[in-house]
Amino acid sequence: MTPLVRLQGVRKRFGAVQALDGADFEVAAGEVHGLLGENGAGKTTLMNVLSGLYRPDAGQVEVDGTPVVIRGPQDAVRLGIGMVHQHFELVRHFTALENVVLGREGGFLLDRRALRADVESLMERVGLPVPLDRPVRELPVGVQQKVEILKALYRGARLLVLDEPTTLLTPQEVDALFSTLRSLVERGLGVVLITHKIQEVLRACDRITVMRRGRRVATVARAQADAARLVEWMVGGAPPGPAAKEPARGGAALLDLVDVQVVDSRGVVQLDGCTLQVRTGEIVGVAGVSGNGQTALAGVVAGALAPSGGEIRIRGEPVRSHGVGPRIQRGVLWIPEDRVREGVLPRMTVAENVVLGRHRALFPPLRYDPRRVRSLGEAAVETFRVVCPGPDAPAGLLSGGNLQKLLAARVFAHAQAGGVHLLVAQNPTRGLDVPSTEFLHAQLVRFCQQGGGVLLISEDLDELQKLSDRIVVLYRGRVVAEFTRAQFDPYAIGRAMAGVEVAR
Amino acid sequence: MTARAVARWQAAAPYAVGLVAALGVLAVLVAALGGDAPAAVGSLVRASLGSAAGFGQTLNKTAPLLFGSVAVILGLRAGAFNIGVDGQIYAGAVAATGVAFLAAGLPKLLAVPAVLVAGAAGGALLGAVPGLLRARAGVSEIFVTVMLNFIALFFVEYLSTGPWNDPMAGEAITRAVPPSTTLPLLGARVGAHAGVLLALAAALAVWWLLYRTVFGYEVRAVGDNPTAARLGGIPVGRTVALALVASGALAGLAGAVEVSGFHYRLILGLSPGYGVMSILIAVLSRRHPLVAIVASLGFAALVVGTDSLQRSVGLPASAVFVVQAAVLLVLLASEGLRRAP
Repeated sequence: MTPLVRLQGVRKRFGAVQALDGADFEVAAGEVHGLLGENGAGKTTLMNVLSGLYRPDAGQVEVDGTPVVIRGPQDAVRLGIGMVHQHFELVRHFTALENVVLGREGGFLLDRRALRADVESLMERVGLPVPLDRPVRELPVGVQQKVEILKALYRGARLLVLDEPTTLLTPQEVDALFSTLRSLVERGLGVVLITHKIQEVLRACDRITVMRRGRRVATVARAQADAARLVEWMVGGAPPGPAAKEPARGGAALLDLVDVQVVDSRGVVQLDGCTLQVRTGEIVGVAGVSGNGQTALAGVVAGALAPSGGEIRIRGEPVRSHGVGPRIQRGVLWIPEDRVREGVLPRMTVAENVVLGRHRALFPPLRYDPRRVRSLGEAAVETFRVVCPGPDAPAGLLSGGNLQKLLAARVFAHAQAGGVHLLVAQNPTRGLDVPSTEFLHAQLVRFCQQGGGVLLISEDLDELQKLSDRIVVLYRGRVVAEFTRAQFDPYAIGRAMAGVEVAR
Repeated sequence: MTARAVARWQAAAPYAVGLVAALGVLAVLVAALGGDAPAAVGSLVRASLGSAAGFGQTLNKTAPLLFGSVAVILGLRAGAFNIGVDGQIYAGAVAATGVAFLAAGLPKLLAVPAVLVAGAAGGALLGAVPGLLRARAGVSEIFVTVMLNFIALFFVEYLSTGPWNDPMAGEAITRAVPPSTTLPLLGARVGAHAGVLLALAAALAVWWLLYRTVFGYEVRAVGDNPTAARLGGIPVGRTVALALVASGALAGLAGAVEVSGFHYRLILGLSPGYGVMSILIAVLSRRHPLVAIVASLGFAALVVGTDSLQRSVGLPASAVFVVQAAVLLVLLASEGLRRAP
């Protein structure tokens, strides 16, 4: 049988990052095909190539067995490819009807009645009723998503690509979405479900393709798939390479989390009784499929989130006042995950960015010294190899990888100046090229050798195995397993990440 | 000339072009309204900058505009949009007038500082309301400052027609403040009061605060990216609130200076839209307090100069507003020109 769409050897590079490195993928009519992988594995990039948002550097696209060149979104629509993005592309002040027919109104005057009849019959055929006359902004997220699906179908989509469609939905809405997708494929459509959630692909998909680092790792039928195998494929099953650092020799406790709870503003439990310890000289790796409490863990250790229960001790002393400022004073620094949103001050200079967090220790309140800031910035940029026009350039001009290096430079320059005991690093090397990654790893190791400790939260199991003295696995907000270096085994870790078995 | 200086001159060039274009538009408009265009341009320059008395008028106009624009700039730098400059000017003026009445017996050396401090405190109080509401409850400062403008304005109406009314005037103005509480003149011939020097000092102080203190660094960081600032250990809410309090104090000083330097009393129309003009100046100055010095002076000259067209060319008052607005639009468009490349 000819697949509906086939992608072969697709390559796409963004600056220093090879987002797609010869990726293959195919989807047939009549199936829900799960496209599984960690953040940054290339899933969305691959589908954006298919939907005409990106032009690939190399590779072939076939639709119905015929090679095609997709030059833009219009080409993709013409070929019957519809994409529902993670962040909807709806005109919020338009009604659902206006959104569905947008761009397909035909003619200058709107023949509302005819358009309406068209859309109503479409809704009936596919079983997706939505209130057509309400402005989209007033509709619940699940219904907005239906509007997006209708829009794609109205444009004649035969293949529907949904990017992380369940992120914003309630469990009931997820159930409804999956049954909608099922009925669509029964009508002969093809559906691609992009996700990093294993349980979802197991529930909703007929076949599953796992991607990692811009390539396809495997494609399996649902019947042959199980959670543990999928996790291994997602995170990489390479046996641990040589350790990057000398093993830590049981130093004093730097960080203790005892039964820590975090409930976010929506009332969702993010950390559910998390207990772990970091000692001096130690790198403790935190593994887990993303969305299992990693961000809350980093936030609560760095002081950005207040725990709703449990105890945090830093160097043996219980912490009572939260907030990042007090935590910095106690020597805890954080390399955040989302560098643009959480890290950079875009209109301030590179040098001013370097001293953020340290500025209160550097200067008396009325003696801020821009020349000193500049020289500190210049030194940090040089030491940590940040490529930029100079210490006076606005940080917003830097590329993504260099922003990441700038944030690392901020933290390591602070650490070199002394008084820093613990680093919390969340995916610190995501988006970095290989030399920069190596350099950053060396910095982390050096920090530990000088008596610091690191809590390394990463989705890259190779990175964790290379650097960590111990790896703990976070699953649904709890530490469900712990591995010492001698016990490192990607399969065992992968199983714990999938919540398959609890090993201690 | 260094590369930096060249860049600065290049950045200024569109404004020069804009100024010439604005004068052109002015001439065309005056001609269209039936006036003598060359005479109008001449009178505009003479009335604002070309004569000692005119220059004095311009300096007196500069004082509230400069206080107001650096107040807006301080707010903007912290990421807060202070639309309440008018209200804070009135609050400062009320406090200054009240203290001036109380300070009747004091020597000038004590009375004048007391009046100024009162003005700053009155404005700061009005700035503290949106500051606290935003820091504690996340309420948009835009709503709060606009609402407080109305409250302050109606309070002034009450005072100027009620308890502090000057019964001899028959207008919404209060009794005159005691002479011992008024600002000194810079020279009898010029007719400018010392307020412009205070405003100049305020602009320099805001520059120093922003670029030479840790608090100023934190203000700029918070205004740039509040999330990153918070994760850098900066107390975001407190920083924004303090910036708004300081912003209110600066605007309050404008009110105090208008009372003790210009009107010698509290009047209902004390602020003819200084708040809005301050926002324009702040944006035109690209949120830089030192640029605001020049921009405020230019703005004041424009306002004083076009006002004079009523007398010199016989334009009706409403036509003067049209001319002012058109000239402003051309200047703002030149700001867009600068951003374009």
